[in-house]
Amino acid sequence: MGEFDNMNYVIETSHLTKKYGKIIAVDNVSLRIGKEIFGLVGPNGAGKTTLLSLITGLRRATSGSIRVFGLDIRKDDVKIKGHIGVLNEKPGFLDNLPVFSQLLFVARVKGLSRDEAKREVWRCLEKVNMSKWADVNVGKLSAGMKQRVAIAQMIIGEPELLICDEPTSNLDPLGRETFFSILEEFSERGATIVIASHLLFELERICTTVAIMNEGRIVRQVKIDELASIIRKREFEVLSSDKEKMAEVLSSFSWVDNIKVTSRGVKIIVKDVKRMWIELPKAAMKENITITSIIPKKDLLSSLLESIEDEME
Amino acid sequence: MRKTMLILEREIFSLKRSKILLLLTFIILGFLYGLYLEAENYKDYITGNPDLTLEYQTALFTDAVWIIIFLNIGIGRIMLGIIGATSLAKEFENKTMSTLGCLPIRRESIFLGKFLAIALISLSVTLFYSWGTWVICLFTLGPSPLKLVFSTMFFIFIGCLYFASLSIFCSSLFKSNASAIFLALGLIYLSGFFVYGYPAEVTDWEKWFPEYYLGFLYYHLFMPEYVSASDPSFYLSITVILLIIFILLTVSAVIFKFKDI
Repeated sequence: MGEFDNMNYVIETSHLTKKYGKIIAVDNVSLRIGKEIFGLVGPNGAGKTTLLSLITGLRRATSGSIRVFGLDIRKDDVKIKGHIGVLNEKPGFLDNLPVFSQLLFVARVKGLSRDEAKREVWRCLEKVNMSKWADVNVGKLSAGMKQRVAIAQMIIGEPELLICDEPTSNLDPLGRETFFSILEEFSERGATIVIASHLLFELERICTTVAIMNEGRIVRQVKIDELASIIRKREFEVLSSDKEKMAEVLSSFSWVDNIKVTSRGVKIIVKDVKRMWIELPKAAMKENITITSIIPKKDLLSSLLESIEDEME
Repeated sequence: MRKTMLILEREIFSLKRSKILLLLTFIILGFLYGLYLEAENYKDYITGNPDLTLEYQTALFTDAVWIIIFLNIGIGRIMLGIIGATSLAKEFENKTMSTLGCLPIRRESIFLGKFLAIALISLSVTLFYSWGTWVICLFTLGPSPLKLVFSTMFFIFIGCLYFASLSIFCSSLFKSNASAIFLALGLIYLSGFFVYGYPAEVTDWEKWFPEYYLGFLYYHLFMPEYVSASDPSFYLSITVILLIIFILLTVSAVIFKFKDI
């Protein structure tokens, strides 16, 4: 895709630590990210945003080193930043300036001539379906629209590395689809993408590797297909046409750990989620029970973190 | 340098859109209109006393200069204080610093671009007001001494730069516009006593006040009859003020460079 095509690792961090007084926001993180879509997942306050801001050079590490495209972020930050696109958690704009002029400024700082920059800004605005809002002041846009403008800003100049922090917050379903299709397009062209989110199901959809972060540390880094095997227990509620009969069916499975009949269905703790999806519908059909819904009672991330904690104990 | 110019362009465009420049222009026009009324009064007086014309022309312009300095100390300075105080702090308050920080541009260039934008506004205020006054005098009383125009311009410009540097310094300390404006206006208000109070016994002032030198400079420029033209304190005043501007800007640039977002 560009100047750094032959790199093994696009981002390398070594023993990276960031402290705010006594608080350790990032604790001894060593990461290697190649040309892939890399997800960084963790609860609020896990240190994802701080880690990304260290990688983008927005903040200075207390100790450790960061190399992006093989260059030191402290020494060659301007060169590195010419090749990256960043979508911050809270994208900032000057509210009294129109969308177009804000993006034009970004394109020109990235080294494009005035005419090239104009063409590039139109192209990016069209990608996020915001071209008809080009002349409107950013301050007049809704939060979701600002997020779209921020996405357009990130992809200006076709960067080789995209760094997105909670990218889908404020986006409607259509906006999310557009965003993911843009990422897929960039990935096909060989760009590296790093996404931080606390929504694991979103990362599952697009990432190739996921690092799980908690309390400033990377507690686990896995390929996306290995993720399901880590989650040992997950709580679901099964809604069906006959909850008493469903409870009986469920009690016959070895992968069900705990059964509790509630006012609307049956709550279960599942030890093997994969088997549940295969065996439960078959058994229900055999017993002539209609399953109307299977609702996860805890989100994927909490279950994942619990499983990792259990494993560590 | 190209990126510095882009920052300058962005800053001017943003100020233009925020209408603060328009407000500044109207304030200056208002003062010029007041000056025009004053000039008309003098004209009536001079018409009745033809022998005094030349002396009163000069007197009128000196009065005009007073008003200019008053403006500089008053409204204009407050406007420049607000523009300067928000220049860096607004980037943190609006979270635009995180956008700028991810772009291939050095913080030094951002700082320089912002300072140049304020210097350009200061220069515009200086030119607009000095020559506006001269034009009013020309049409009411005839041409006034150009030396006085240049003295005025010099003083206003150096004053504007000093107050701009002071407000940029305040801006570099905070991440919120309100705090930066509050401190900048407070310092500017305190400064006003020293500059505007120049006719007081200048030499008795504490010399560690930067405004002592600004007041002294004013004294040299506009009250030359009380000081010797070759007085070295004139050059000392200029040197000290330029040095203070340089120190304020350097300290602000260093704070801005290492400020966490």
